Amino acid sequence: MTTRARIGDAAVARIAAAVAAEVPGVVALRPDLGQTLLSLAGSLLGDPTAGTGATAVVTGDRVDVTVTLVTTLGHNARDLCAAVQRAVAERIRADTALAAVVTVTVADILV
Amino acid sequence: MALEDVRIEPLACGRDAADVWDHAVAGELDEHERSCPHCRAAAADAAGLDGVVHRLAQERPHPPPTVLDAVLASVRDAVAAELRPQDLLPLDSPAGPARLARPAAARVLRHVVDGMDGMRARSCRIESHTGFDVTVAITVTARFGVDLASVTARVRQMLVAAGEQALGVPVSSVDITVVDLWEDA
Repeated sequence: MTTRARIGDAAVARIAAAVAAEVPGVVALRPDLGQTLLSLAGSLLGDPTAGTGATAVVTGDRVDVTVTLVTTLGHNARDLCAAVQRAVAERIRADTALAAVVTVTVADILV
Repeated sequence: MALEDVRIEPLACGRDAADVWDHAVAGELDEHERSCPHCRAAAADAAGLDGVVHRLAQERPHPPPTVLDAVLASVRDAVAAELRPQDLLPLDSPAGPARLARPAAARVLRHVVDGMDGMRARSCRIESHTGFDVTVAITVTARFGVDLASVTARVRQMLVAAGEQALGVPVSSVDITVVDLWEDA
């Protein structure tokens, strides 16, 4: 018997969002327009967890992840991006065996 | 919750009400069901419910105004906050693609100037040309009587330091324009 397992985009996005939110310096994740609409639809349809603040597209054994976040003054934006990228990629590799390319955008710095 | 096979009490005439309902909806009532008062009552119930369901299905539901307003406000906020590619500065992260929103970076630099004695920032424009270096053009106002030459040199120093330490963005040049002076009240 042959068994195939595929990790869905939403599952990887959920892992990415959870890991990114725990990185010191990350105040919040900011959903983009698409995620906001998804979140609204989810809340109306009874799925309040839709729209996680991160997106993922799985292609074969690799995944492209985007994370958009808000931080505060006092955390170097470049270093914070690198910390998020490393943490997310490592966790995705450990949980799914996928190689992740993580794009991080700092949308706002609270002063 | 598991569904159980519950035995339902038949009609007084011995017919199963569910069968009569099915026949009524399908328009296939037999001779007994058409004449028996119990079956006719069950068939009338089925017809009544069928009518209500069809009427509700044809109605176009209108969300309450409060829900509609909340949804539209969320969409408007999301559209306003959506970052366009030209609003992003590339960051030199060794771990992959990284970007910083230009308005956020400008706000930090203005905040740095506002924290200096005798200086207030007005506008701040950050341009990215090649690589990761940026140029900053900032307009400021100064307190009347301050040494403008030395204070603008200090602003330049502070912006270069803030670019590297707070943002992770190398600032290659700073243009400062003092657009006005103000006096303490």
